[in-house]
Amino acid sequence: MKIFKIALVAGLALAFTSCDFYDLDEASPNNALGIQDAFVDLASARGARAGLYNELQFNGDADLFDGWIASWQYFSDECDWAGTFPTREEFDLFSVSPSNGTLGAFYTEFYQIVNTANTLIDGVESISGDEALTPERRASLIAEGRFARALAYYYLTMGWQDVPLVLTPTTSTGEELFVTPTAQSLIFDQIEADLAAGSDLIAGETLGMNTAAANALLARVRLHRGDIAGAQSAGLAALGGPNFDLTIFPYLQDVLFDIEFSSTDGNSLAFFFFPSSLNGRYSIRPSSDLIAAYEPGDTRLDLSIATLADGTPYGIKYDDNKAAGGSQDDPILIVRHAEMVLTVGETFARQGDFTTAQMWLNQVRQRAGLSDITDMDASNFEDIFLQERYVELAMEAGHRLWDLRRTGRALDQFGSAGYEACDALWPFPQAEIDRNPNLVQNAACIQ
Amino acid sequence: MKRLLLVLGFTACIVSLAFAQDTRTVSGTILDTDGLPLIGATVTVPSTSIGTATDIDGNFSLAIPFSATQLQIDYTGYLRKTIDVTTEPNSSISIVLAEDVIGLEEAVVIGYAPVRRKDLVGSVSSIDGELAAREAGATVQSALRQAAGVSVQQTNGAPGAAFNIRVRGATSITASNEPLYVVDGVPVVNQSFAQTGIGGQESNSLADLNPNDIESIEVLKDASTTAIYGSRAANGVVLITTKRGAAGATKINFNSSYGFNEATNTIDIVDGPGYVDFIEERFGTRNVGALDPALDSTVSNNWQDLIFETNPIQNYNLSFSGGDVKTKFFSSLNYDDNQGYLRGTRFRRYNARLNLDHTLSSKLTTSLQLGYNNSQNDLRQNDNNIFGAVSSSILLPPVVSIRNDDGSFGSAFGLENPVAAVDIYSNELKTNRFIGNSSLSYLPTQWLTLTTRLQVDALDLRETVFEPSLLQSSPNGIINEGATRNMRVVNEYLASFNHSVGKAQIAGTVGAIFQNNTFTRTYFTKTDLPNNTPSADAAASPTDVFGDESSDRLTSYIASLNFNLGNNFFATASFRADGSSRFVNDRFGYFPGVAVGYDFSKFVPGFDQFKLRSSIGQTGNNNIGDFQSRALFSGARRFLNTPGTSPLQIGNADLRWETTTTFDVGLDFALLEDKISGSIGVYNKRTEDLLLGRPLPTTSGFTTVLENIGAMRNRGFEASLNFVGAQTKDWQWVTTVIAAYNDNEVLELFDNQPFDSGFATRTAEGEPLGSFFGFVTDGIFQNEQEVEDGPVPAGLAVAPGDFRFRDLNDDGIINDQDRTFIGQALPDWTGGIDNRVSYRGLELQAFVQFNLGNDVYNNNLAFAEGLNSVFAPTARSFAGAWREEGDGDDFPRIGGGVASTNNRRDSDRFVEDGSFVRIKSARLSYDVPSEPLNSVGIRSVRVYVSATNLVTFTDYSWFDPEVNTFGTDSNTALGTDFLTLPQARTVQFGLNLGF
Repeated sequence: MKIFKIALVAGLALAFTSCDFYDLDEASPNNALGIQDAFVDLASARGARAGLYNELQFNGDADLFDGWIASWQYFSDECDWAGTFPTREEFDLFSVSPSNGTLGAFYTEFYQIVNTANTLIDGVESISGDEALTPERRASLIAEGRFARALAYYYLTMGWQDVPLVLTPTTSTGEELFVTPTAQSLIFDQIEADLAAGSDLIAGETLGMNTAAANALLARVRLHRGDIAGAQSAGLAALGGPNFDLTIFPYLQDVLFDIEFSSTDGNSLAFFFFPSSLNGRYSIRPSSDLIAAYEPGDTRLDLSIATLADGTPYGIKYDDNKAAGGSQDDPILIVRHAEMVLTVGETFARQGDFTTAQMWLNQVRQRAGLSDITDMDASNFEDIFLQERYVELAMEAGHRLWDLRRTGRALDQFGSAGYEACDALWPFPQAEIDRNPNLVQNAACIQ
Repeated sequence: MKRLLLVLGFTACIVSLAFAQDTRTVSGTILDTDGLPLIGATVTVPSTSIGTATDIDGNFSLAIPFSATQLQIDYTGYLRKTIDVTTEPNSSISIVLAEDVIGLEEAVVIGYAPVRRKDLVGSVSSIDGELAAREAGATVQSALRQAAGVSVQQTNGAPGAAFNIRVRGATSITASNEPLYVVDGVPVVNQSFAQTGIGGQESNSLADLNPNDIESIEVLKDASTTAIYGSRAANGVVLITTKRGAAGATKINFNSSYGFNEATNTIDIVDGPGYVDFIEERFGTRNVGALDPALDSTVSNNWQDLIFETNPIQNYNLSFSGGDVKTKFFSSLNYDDNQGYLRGTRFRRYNARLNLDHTLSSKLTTSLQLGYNNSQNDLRQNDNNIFGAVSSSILLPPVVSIRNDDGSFGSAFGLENPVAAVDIYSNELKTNRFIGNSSLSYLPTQWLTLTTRLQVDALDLRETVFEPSLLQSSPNGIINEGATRNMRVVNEYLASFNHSVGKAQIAGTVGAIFQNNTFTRTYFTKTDLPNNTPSADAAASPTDVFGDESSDRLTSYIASLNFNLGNNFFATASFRADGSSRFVNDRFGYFPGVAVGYDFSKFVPGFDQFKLRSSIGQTGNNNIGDFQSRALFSGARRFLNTPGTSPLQIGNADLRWETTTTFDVGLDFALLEDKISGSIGVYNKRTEDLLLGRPLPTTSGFTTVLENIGAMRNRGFEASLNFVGAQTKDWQWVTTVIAAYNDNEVLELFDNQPFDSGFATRTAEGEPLGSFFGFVTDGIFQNEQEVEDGPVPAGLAVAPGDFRFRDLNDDGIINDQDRTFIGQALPDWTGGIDNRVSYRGLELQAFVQFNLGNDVYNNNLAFAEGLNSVFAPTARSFAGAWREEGDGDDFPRIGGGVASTNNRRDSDRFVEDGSFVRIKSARLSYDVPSEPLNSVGIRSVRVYVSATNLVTFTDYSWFDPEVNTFGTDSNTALGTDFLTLPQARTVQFGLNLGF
């Protein structure tokens, strides 16, 4: 009897321990995979590629708004701060401190794109044994990684000039992470090299990146660097040649590359732009200078800025305010044909060919319902192009700030609002200085 | 099936015994020392299954084999007695049992076996279950205020709100700092499971327990008592024991209470005309409509008055207990309904419990403790949240209409209308939960017990959040639904022995324990509801759909040994090996603890107890995410409708436990026949290998990697003193004082790098957790000359009326380098005084809680007293704003831009002394004399009136200094107030009936 009972208790005991229910090795996540499983075939490579586009959408809705759009626009005469966040106000006041949390947040987001791109480039190269991954497809996937990397470095160098250049995926956490800044010219070289690979992009197989957009960004970078001929050729390549006609596209429909969203993969851009009576936060508003810059009859004004009955202006390039914040599907316009038309036009003007320059410029003006410019000359072409870019590209990215810096006019134009020579770049986030002993604060104004 | 086999087995045994041997009958009476019969005492033949229980007159009659030589008599609270029955074969015997002076109620289960309180050499605070339910809307945690060395903070005032509990200070920065809660042996989950964010606050899964069911709570504080709980014990262990039945007549208790919650205070915000005046000074126009068309200067609403109201709170508890010698039961039903004074907040809970103890034979016992809970928590958006009710009631200008002409709610600057936030928004958390412990013990000999237990904590939570289109947050209506299941199953296999040799007694336990915790959840959001139909079916557009599963397993081996020599010298040693699936290369952690104590009372005249004790040991903390040690690619990185993966975390396969080493010295004493008793102790708790997110340069694409770096120390002193002022038939007076001092210090961080969290909190070496960091104000610039004299911030054209800050590094300008530590959230002293005086059934109880030496970072002031924005300012700040030279140093000038940047920066302006003394609970009760009641079949009647949070004495300027807007979410961002719902004041009337 005693033996029977002991056997019974022992049996009960074993009933639960014999199965793998309690096995320490059997616990694993169901929504994540080990690094070793991330790049094994074409399908997994494409998954990682979609993950890269997801990184372009940023992790935080506020970071998305700040990093791609708002910070550049506060930091110019394009838009004004209208909200309640003091860290955003610092951009509007040209007084960004290293401890500014907004600054640090989108600096980080851009480098997350860089690492995800580096991981994709490296991972795709490492895959072997899947015949579906043809050399062309492999090259195209790598080119998508390089496109995204170039885009991230473009924004980084626009913000901070010399920045740490990381081109390999992060797999360890040692001192190798303490990277020093690389000179802006070398950053630009890398961006150009990455964008040159855009010719490998296979139309119809990417998730949106394309050769024309890569050429367009190349033209933008070259114009910024003063490589007029290079900008012209890349710009023309982006437009498909000298016979391009912008006027067949309605305003804002001439998209070369944008970051897309949907109601189930949405953002809060309209929420930030719209006033509270229209379910918005109204963190940003078009500046009075911008509103005044539209010529009478410019049809773009009503497509860019609306006004409440009391006169409150608000930007409407992101207008999915009917959806809730986080579910709005407005795309971020990275590069449009109109920018290329103006870029190509400007290169001709800089080469002294004002007739061709006017031809390109007037495509933009005609579409906006404005009369042609016919008196362009060496003394006024830069004003004309800057004015046209100001209103054409308003509230889309940081074009106003970048253009005025590129032409050396930022101090003149924004100085009265507080812009100083040292505002040509932002300070590195203090957290980065703290984390990276090899990173020395840059020459930005330190508040 | 196994159970059936078991029963069959016994039936066979008993039958075989009955037929195998001839029997004789022994009968007798069991009496206590006063000659009163003991009902339900057990009479058994040792080493057999033969036994019986005494009847209502203490009589028994038992057939025993002729071969039996002894009878053993057991009765709860009395010493076991064994009598010889060889010499008196057939006669009736009278047996007197002596009371066990220690008493069963003095036994505590610490670790995995019961220990007599007097034998304890660890540091344990015990709380009588009667105190568990005495605060209004009590949850288990609120009772912990009675324990010395336990800091209890309710983070906000919503019914069913979460608590921050710290036993002897916080040990961790990344992992949880909450103690391990064990209910009837079951280690229960205590985190928040709600998936919908409503601001800074979380839900409290311990609110599921019915405090009325609690018999006692033991808080294990030192390593000798906690080490046996190993990897989860670094923050102390709270053992909750529910009530059990006792043999005898069935007792029925019905307790009911009804009362009211109300706000303790409100904040004086400017009224409508005051707001227009403010806007005129701020923006130079009285046309407030120009700022936002929703502003109408003819309107003046006091938003707080519109959403705070007096609401009912009620509780009904019915319990039955009783049993006979073989089977004892306790069962209860409870209904709790707590409607917060913030309209719309409500916590409702149904509880049922059945506790059964059954003796199958003298060698086999089984027991079941099963608690069921069904609760519904109605939440409102709160805290740092423009849609929050309290947030908008403070910040939304009074000149906004409650309703517009078209029926919509008035709103401005993106803020929700407070009335809409409480009346239209709906958020229901519905929980079903079973916590059960089923055990079977086999006693092959008198000194050995083999026990197997199956334990379950099964929690199912459903949440439904409905935001109709009338809300700011929801232009077309939103519905969110979430389902969360957390299933924890534990198997324990234990062998305990207890043996005496001469004056020495030795007891020990070894065992193996296996745990599986699996967590599954889904969540979706859909928008576009036709006619605001609150249905997921009706909603047109899905926006978010999530679902995942996660699990962790724990495999543990334990051993403990208790040694007691002559009831003077005590020693214990314990050990636990824990293996966790959360770690990769270093899976097993080993946690030893030892303690010794000696009672010197026979050498110290006048003392009944004078026990010096000391202990040392190690405990761990593995409360991090389930898969933090692995390098992972997230599978949840889709782009539009294309599935995507991308790097999630860099991982660290070398992660291991946080290890806390605690050294403890204490003295337990009693004198004057226990009229004065208490204990004092000091401890030093040092935590090494802190699981810390080492900040990585974000150029790596990662922000942190979790590593075992860093160290933290808590040193402290704690004392409890129990003073019996009177104990006569008519008069009783007992005062208990508890006090604890804790000094927390972060000893080591990665590379001495401080990090910031919250609004102004900095974690840095040499400072306590929760330290506030910012600028130090130095008055207000009164004129241009003072501005010129500086110091002023670089590039900022400050003007008279702006704050002057101290130039701490004397470089002539104010910048980030001039920040310093400006306060700290952790209190120096915590404790309370409990006073109970009764005279002939009339009793007054009061518990006064104190928290001294803590600061609160009052971020409300940055907004409501910023004087730079469109938000409504407080009346005092608007009246006191600097307007001309000589206007003082309290409030700056009214203005935006430079004034805003300068005056709103994190500074000591927003740090306030959060010390408080609070009459936490008070109760006046009357017990109706039993004589007239008994004749009508009623055992007892008590009527009472009680109050919770009656009065708070504090210098804090906002609602309530016991607050944290970051809820239980943050270990580092502490003591910060930002639009947080404060605690209620509650008055209740109660009636307790016993049958």
